[in-house]
Amino acid sequence: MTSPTRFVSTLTALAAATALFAGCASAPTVTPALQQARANVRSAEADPAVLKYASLDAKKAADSLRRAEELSAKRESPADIDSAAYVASTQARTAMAIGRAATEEEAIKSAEADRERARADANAKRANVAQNQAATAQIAAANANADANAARQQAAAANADAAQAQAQAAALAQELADLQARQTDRGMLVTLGDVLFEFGRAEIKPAAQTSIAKLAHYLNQHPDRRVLIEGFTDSVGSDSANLTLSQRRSQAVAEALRAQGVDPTRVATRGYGEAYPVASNSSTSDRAMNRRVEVYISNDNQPVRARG
Amino acid sequence: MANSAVDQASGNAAEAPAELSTARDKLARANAAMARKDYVAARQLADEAAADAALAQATARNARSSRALAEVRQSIQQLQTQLNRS
Repeated sequence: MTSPTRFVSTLTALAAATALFAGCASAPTVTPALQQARANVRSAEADPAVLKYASLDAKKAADSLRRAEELSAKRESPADIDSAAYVASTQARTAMAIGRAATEEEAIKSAEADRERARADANAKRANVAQNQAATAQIAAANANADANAARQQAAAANADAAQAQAQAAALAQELADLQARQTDRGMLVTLGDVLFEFGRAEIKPAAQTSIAKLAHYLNQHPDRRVLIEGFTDSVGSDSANLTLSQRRSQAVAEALRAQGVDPTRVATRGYGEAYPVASNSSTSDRAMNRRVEVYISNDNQPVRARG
Repeated sequence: MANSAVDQASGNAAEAPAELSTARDKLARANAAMARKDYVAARQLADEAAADAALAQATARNARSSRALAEVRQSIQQLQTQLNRS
């Protein structure tokens, strides 16, 4: 007969043995491949790209892992467990590769949209450059046109000026011709006959004003020309009286020109009395030719050279 | 099933030669196991071959997407360079 104490201890030992046995029976066989599969499936399940693009593949991997865990729990052979674990790992890696690929394919779409925008920008910029060039060319053309118009107008104005100048020159030449001017080595000579003056006097007759006016007009049109007025008499009368008279007459002509606007600083006068006769003094008509005033107009802006 | 998966991978997984080669190898071994009537091994190897083939396809697809993305980014860079130059 066994003592109750021994019985209890036997029960306890049995329970411990049963527990030990049960513990041994439920201990799964965990291979390195299974651990690897667990890690891979965890990574795949934690990958947002997998969640988004490859959740079905992740589920396949999880199912495969569950099969491997079952084999492990049933303590099947490590080769069987490893094969199932290998499939789970490979499916997890597949899910992650699909996740990466799909993510990149999305990125390609948005990059292509960016590229289209960049292309459109480039085209717009090119078009803009072309437009600016066209506008610049248009402005240049307009400017050139305006310049051409201005040049034409200037040319027309110059032509008009030239025509006017020509007409003026012709008119002045006509005036000189009217005054019976002739060219000499001291300048243009206009001889005013004794019809200018009353006998023995130095006042110019009103009738002679026309000749003076023409002369003054010519001089006013040529402000650079200088004038020398020389007075002469015939041989009738004393030398000194003739000299004085010739001086006064040349001064009278200078004064008449001044009255018509000719600057007196341009005008010099001389009296030579009966010297330098142009005719014989032996006849009335010859003496009339000697009574005269000669007006020399310089060909340039220098004073007319005095005779002698 | 493993057969068709490996066939399909052969067609579109040229960019993942290592994975593809593993899949083919496994399939050959599955067929060999089948021939010697080792059905358990044949079944396991066929399952592995199918998983390898799927990985080969995914890896190849990822290689293509990486290359295409690099190309698009490079062409954008060129456009921007052009844009800045002109």
